[in-house]
Amino acid sequence: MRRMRAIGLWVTLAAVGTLAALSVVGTFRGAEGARTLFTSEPLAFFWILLAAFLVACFFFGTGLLRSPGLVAMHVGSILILVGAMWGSDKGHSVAEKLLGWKKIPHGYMMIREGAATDEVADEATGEPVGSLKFQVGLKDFRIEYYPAKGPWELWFEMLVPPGHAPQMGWVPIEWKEGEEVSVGRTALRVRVVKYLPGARPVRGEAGEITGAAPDSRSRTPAMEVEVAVRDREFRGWIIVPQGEDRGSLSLAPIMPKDLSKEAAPNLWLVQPRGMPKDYFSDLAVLRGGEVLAEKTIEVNHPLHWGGYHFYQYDYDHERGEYTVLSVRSDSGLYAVYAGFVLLVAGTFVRFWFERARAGWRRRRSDGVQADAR
Amino acid sequence: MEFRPTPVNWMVLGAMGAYVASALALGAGALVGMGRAPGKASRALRVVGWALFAAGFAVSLAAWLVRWHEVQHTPLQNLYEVCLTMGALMLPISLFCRLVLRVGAEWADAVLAAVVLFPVAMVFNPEPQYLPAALQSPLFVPHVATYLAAYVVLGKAAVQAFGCLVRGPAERGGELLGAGASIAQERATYTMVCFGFPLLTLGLVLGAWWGKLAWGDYWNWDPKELWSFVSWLVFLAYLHFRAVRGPRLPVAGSLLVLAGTACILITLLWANLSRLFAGLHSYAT
Repeated sequence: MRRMRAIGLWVTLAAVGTLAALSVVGTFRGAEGARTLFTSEPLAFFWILLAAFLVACFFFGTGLLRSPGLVAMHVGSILILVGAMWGSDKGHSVAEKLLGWKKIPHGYMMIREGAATDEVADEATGEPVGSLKFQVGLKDFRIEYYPAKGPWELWFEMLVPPGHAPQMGWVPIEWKEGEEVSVGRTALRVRVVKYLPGARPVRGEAGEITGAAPDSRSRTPAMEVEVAVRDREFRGWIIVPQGEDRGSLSLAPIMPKDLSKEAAPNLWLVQPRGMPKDYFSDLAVLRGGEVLAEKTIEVNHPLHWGGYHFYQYDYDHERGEYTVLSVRSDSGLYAVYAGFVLLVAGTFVRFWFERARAGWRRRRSDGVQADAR
Repeated sequence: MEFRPTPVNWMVLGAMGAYVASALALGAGALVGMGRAPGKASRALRVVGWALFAAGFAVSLAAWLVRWHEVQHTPLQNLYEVCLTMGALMLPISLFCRLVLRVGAEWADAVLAAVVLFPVAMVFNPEPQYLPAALQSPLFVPHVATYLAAYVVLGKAAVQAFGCLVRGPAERGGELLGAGASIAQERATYTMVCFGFPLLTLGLVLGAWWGKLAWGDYWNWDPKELWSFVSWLVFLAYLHFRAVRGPRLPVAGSLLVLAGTACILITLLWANLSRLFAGLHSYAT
């Protein structure tokens, strides 16, 4: 019996040591390198051996069955290993070959606002890997930002005249009150004459806006700018309307006469955005045009439908018109979750409650012996 | 390394001072009473030591609450806040270990508290940061707090294991490490690992569950995940070793516990600070 325990101990230590050593190697290879290492065929063999060894513990592990905590820990570990193998790429292909269960293990979906798709693509290559039995539609995508700090930003926006090749889009202007600065690689020079952090518009007799005045109750700013391009100069106000996050000033007065007012560039005063707080996609699950389910997903709150989880993964950084969802099969997941619960419960039962109960029994037995004396 | 004079950092400096003074008083009290029944001097030193320990705790708890008010979320986001939290966790865990588990060495706990607070005041950036989307989860606080409690408890186990190694296998009198002799320290080490290991397991599993909800996979093979798994495996090896061999080989057991603690340090610090291990947990620096 003692020999059996010694052999069991050394095999356990060898298995744990191997896993620890491989994990240390994995840390130096980065997440992708480690994933490749741990899902390679030799390692798949190791995982199967490990699961078999854990099962063998029930037959040869002396005292294991006497402790509910130890039983829970070992059953939990087996469930985690089996669930992980079942949910792996290899597990999916084995299930398809042996049982005919066809399921996409993982991939991504790119969906435009107002559109729906059932196509899942590979994360690495972008090639289609299959179709779902239902469609996922995107009603709306939006980003919530933290409040930003610092002064409002000044941007130059060059509109593209009809029939012309696309030119520059938005150019930030590093402004400072009273200083003249050049705008990118253009001939434009801008001087901020006055900046009012809280302002209201000042109107002339005909009701037209003629300027701005300070207003401590206002949460939106105004900026007086002097713009010069070659021999032409122009002075005007950018006034941000109440409740808005941007205001603009058309530079049409100093542009060539053949440029229409709509095509003329603008100066924009834009509220700075803080870092993104969260990303939301309003999704609908559809089949044959019928809406089966709806959910607004965000980070930490995926959609679960038809054996898949859909996660907020990426989005259209330019215009926010599409969302990218990560698609994950839920095969084996509940075995893993059950394993987690058993493993955690087992450690607490074994190392807290069983030890506390043993200590309490020992103290009671010592007390009985002392009374007997 | 420089001191950044924020209100929280000033409080941290005060707490560190109280913890260091507490460690000196408690250590002196243990030395004076070593090998004999505690006398008046020993008792007085211990009372002073405990009072200073409590003062350090009160100030570090206040600093933690001020930080919470500053950042508007539970301060567990980065190493600055994690170390601040560990500085405040030390006394409650120390008291629990003394009263329930009968494991002492509070002078070492006070030293540990001062050590974890040092980088808060002198190294890490105190600039408040917004929570990224992934951290806005109900699992954020339970996952990090459970891990921190486990780290503090296993840090105490390492102190006992170190004492066991330093003293050697021979039985010697004395209470500097709160357990009297190396065999008693071996038992104290085991008791602390038994207390900390379930917390370590819970922290690991909560992290896996959270990873599934946030990133789509419960295991992403990220360097920090792997180091935390290595820590768990080393303590698992210790528990198997102890279950089969009992307390008969205290040196080997103590070495395993110290190796596990070294892995915890790598998980907590190196995996975040070193460029070798870029990964999903990089925001935690």
